Amino acid sequence: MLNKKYKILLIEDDADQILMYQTKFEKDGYEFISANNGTKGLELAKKEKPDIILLDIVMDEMDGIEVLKRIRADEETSDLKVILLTNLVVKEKIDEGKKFGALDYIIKSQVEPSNLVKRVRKFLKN
Amino acid sequence: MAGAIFIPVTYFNFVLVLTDLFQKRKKFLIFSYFIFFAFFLSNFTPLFVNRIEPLYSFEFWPLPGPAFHIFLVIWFAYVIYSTFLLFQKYKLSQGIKKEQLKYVFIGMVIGFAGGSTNYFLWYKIPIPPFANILVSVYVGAIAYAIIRYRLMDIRIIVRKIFIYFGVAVFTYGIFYLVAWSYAQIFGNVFAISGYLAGIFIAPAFVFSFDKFNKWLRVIANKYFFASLSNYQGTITRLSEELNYLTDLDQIINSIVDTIKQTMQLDRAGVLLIDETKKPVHYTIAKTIGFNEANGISLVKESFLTQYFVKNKIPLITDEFDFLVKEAKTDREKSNFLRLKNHMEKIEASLCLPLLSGNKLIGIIVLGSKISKEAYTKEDLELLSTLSYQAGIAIDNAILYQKVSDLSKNLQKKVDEQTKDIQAKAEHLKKLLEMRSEFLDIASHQLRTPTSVIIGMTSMLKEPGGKLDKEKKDRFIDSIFQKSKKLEQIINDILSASEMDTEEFTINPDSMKQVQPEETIDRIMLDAQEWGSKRSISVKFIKPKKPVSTILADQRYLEHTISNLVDNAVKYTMKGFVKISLEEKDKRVYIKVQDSGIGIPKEDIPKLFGKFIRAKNARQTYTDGSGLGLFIIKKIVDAHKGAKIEVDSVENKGTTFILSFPIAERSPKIYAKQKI
Repeated sequence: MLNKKYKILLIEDDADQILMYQTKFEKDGYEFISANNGTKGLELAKKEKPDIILLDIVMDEMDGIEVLKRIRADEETSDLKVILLTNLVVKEKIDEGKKFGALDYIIKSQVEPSNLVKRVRKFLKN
Repeated sequence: MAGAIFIPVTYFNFVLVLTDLFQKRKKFLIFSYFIFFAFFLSNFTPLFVNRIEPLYSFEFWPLPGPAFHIFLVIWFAYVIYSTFLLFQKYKLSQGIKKEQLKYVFIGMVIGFAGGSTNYFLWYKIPIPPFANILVSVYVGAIAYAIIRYRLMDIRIIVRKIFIYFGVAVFTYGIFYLVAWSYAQIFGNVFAISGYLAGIFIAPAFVFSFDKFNKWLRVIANKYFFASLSNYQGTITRLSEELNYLTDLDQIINSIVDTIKQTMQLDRAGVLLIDETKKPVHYTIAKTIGFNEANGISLVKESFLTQYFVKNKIPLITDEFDFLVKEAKTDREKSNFLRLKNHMEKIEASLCLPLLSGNKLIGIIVLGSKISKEAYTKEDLELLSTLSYQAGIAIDNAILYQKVSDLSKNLQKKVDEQTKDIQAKAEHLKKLLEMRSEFLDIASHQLRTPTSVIIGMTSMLKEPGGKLDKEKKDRFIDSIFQKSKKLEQIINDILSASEMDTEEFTINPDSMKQVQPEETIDRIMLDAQEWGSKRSISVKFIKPKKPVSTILADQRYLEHTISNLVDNAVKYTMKGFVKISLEEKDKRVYIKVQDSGIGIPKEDIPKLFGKFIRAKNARQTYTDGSGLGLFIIKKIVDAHKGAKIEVDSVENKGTTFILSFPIAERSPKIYAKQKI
């Protein structure tokens, strides 16, 4: 068991995926919170200061890149660690993600939940 | 007598040159000169002239020695042989050459007949040289031939003589000056110091001789033959000019101007064959000095063309008289006469063919010299040389123009095609962008259910991962939903790509009489279930009496209606989705109405395009592929007479109206045939 319970925020609009990732992370001993759109995600980020944010890109109303920009723009959240977690494989989006300081760009269909946990853990230790 | 000795051999020489036999009989000629030189030497001995005594009215008359008899025989032999050669050549010649030879021949016969009366007295035959005066006839006849028929250019001869004479005088003058100076200075022409001085004098002489020779030529050309010096310069200048000119107009200007100025002509012009016209037709490239009122009557002169193609030599109006005389047929005669009239009408005296190789490309038409002098043989030679060079240059220029026109056209075509290609490339780029956008979306849409299916199953499989029953059930439900979603997306993509490859047609065999009501009923089950999940009422308002059947592919019809209903449910947050069916004017109308987000006005025109999603649709529902309506439109278009229309107000709702003609005749007619 880890000394400190890391807090994960997932911003994702698909309920099935929230269910899946929440089940996995909680089972592995993380504190897991989620938001099903960008606006709610930004609020939660500000309020909860998660250790890492998993951010989807394709979402209604506000897409993940916009959410990332706003996280960086806000002093309170600008230092938060963000990983883009998406099924969209578009070079511009990857580049934009890097530009705004996303630690990683993970393609959901290629990374099973258990592997995702491992990759997230790596960033938490640093 | 000394001069008369050489008459036969010089006459022989003259005839050989005239009959073009000079090279062939050269050795014989030289031998002949030796013989006559021997006679000349014997002239000073009693062998030839025994003694001189008065005879009749002559104070001194020579009496023949033994050699004289031999001489006389040879004298006549040469004269007769030469005259025979002349006659033979005359018979074989044609045109101007024949005229020249005729006058020479007549002149010679009369001249020698008269001249030979000299010999009677030698043998004491009492016939005085009464006809000696006739010798002058030959001078006259040859002079006439020279002037009238350009037998030879007398000015060239005069010029040559002048130069040779001048050089001789110069050489003699120097020789005498040196001899005199030596005598004065060294006291003796052969003094030793004279030899040494000679070392310097000789090179000085050689050097100044050359200078003097050139100077003499310049003087000779200037005074005896003013045009000659110009001529040579002209040819050089013009041919240099023709070398670098490629513009047809410039070349023709240059040719016309140069000829007119150099020869001092009153008019000159160039006509070129217009290759596009048959029979041969000339276009006027340039004329100077012609009276325009007369026109250029040669432009259609096909006989002139034939003449030049055949003869390739200049045609002079002076020569028309014997060309007419020599014409073999009446037709040719009348042709020459007509040509003469044409040339006289425009006051042209000379026509030259412009040839490039063997091809006639045009003619140079010239007037008369301002001085009214006739064209000399030398003029014609110069003009022939010029026209030959001009012909090549003009032909090259025409070719150059053609090539450059061709390359201009080519450039134009290349430009057009480049533009076309650019437009196509632009279009392709857009298509590619759309396609890659589609691929991005499609792959995202495919990956999303896949990621859930893989992720959840992997968790279900995890050895130590004990999931409680509630989670397991939820996982299985999710996996099932996502699998269905995946199936739908795959179908959409496959249909779209199938419909996109070519003009989509439906196999006529699968067109059946379909009762739309039954079809809608089948769809309603699923639709109502989904609607109730989203708290939306989905209703089917049935017609009061059943509608007619329509001709449709049952599978595609169901796909179309169910997609329209799905869309309606998807984009309606609250309210209703209403499906209605009615028959009007032999058409069946299926309406799908909703109280959803509506479609922005600007998105309506492109609604049925590929990968098109309305702006507000993207914000409402991210899972759309933008292919649904594209597929529907393709299906509707594949049904003959079927139509789909849309009526929408943003934020109020949308109505899709699908209509088919009712089935009346054989089902097969209604499948739109592939063209």
